[in-house]
Amino acid sequence: MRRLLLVAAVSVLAIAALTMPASRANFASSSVTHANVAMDHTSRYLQLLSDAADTTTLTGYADKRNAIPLVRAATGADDALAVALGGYKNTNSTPIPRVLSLQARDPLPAGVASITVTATLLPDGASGKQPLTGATFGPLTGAGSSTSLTLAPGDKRWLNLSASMKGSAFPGNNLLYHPVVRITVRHAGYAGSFLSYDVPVSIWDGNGSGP
Amino acid sequence: MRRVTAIVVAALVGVVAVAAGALARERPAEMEQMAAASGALALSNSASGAAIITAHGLMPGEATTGEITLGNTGEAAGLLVLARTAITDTPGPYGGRLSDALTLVIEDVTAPATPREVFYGEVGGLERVALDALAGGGARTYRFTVEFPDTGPGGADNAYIGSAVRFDYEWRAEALPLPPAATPAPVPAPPGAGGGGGGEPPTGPSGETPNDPSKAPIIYLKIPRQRVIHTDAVRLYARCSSRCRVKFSGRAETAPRAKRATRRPLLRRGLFRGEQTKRRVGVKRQKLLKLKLTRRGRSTLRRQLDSKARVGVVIRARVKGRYGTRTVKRRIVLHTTLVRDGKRISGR
Repeated sequence: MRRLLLVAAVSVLAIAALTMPASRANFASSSVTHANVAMDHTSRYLQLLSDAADTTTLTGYADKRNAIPLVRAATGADDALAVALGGYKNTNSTPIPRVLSLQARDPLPAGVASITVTATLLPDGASGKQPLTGATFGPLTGAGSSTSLTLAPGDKRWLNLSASMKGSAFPGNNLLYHPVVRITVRHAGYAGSFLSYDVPVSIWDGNGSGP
Repeated sequence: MRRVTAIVVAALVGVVAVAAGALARERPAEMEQMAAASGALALSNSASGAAIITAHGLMPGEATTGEITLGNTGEAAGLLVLARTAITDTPGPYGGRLSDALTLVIEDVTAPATPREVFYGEVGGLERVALDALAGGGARTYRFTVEFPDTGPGGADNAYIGSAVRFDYEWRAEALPLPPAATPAPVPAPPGAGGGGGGEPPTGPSGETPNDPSKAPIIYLKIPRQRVIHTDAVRLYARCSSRCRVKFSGRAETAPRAKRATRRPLLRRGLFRGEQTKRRVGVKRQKLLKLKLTRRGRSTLRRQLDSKARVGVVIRARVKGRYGTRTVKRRIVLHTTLVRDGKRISGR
């Protein structure tokens, strides 16, 4: 009899303990959201093309000097375009025409009627030496060149370089230099230097075409 | 046997009766107040699951904005907290991580005529920020402004060409614990806030500032290159995510060149004058602070610079805000002379 009463009392306490704090209150509420930000990209305005990336019938792209078999100097497109000029040991200023082609996008982004393109030469980062002596833009056919040009949607031009590895600065001891051609795009609404491509160039100061 | 059965049945009836009574019984006072929020704290979000800001083609010096309104459709007041849950960087072709470059300003524009800045800093620097108390039925509107600062000509920004970033945020309203009084505590309206039902969040239940480092203000410290021994002081710029008071202290230690070498303490305390002084740091503007060296601190640094040419200074900032305190440490190394590319450069 006592045992039964004890069991009953324990049951009462257990049930009461379980039911007492049973609040279903919502003490917190949450929701999620996000933000997306993307910077502008030069490829929305200008394309850089090598022979392999150019889908048109345009011919005449520059070769890698002294390479056997001959290969094109430029490979890839846009941000991935790279130029290997080959060996220019002990050379005076030598023009290297038609290294790559550049073409304005058609259509250009909204509000942009035309773009102005310029090229700047940056020296080899490790040595500070600059084997490139000039960069100009030329028409696809005919003569003439300029250091800056204005392109309407779809317009296309060549980029020509020149290089010199003469003198004590370039002793011809099998060194590979890595100058950069910075191609900058500006338009009527933007005069800064953000929209640009840094085209890596390699040029060999030694015999043969180099790596 | 029948008697035993009757007793068991009676006991079970008693159990059921008592349990039912417990369910219907009045709860203690505090529990009752929390129950005022029962099912009543619910957050509405004008951009739930969507983007506050979507910006493509951002250029240096440009900013983009977006607004969001958070409402409390319940009856109980809640503390509105914003936490960043994820950063997804998509570097461009030149490898720049956009989250390192963007700055974010969050303003409370519930009263459009008097916007109130609640956060300023690097986008990646926002981890969790307690915003405002949101009364039942109230709403607050926040404006997010993301800017890509223009660092000028020279191509420093060009690493970020074509890069993108996505930030995920969670807005959370947490029920404010009410004081033991039977009537709910009034939520004071912020100065200049024209409506919306929000206000400055109160302190803890007993009035003291709760000490939770995760809720403490975030402090941004910038320590420029400088000549410390020459000026007898360390100059730094400070700014807080919300109004705060900061106590600076410092210690000197060796600064061996080898990364794994052990740093030996030279002066554990008393490097700066007035280390017990609390300095007010605001939200809107960076404040230039000058931590003057004590005579002992100066001689310790000089002695080490004379013998080893390098000495480390650890600056400790203890930040106190409404919700808690946070301690931030920065270490700088002072050099007597640094030779780089054959040139002698004097500096910190």
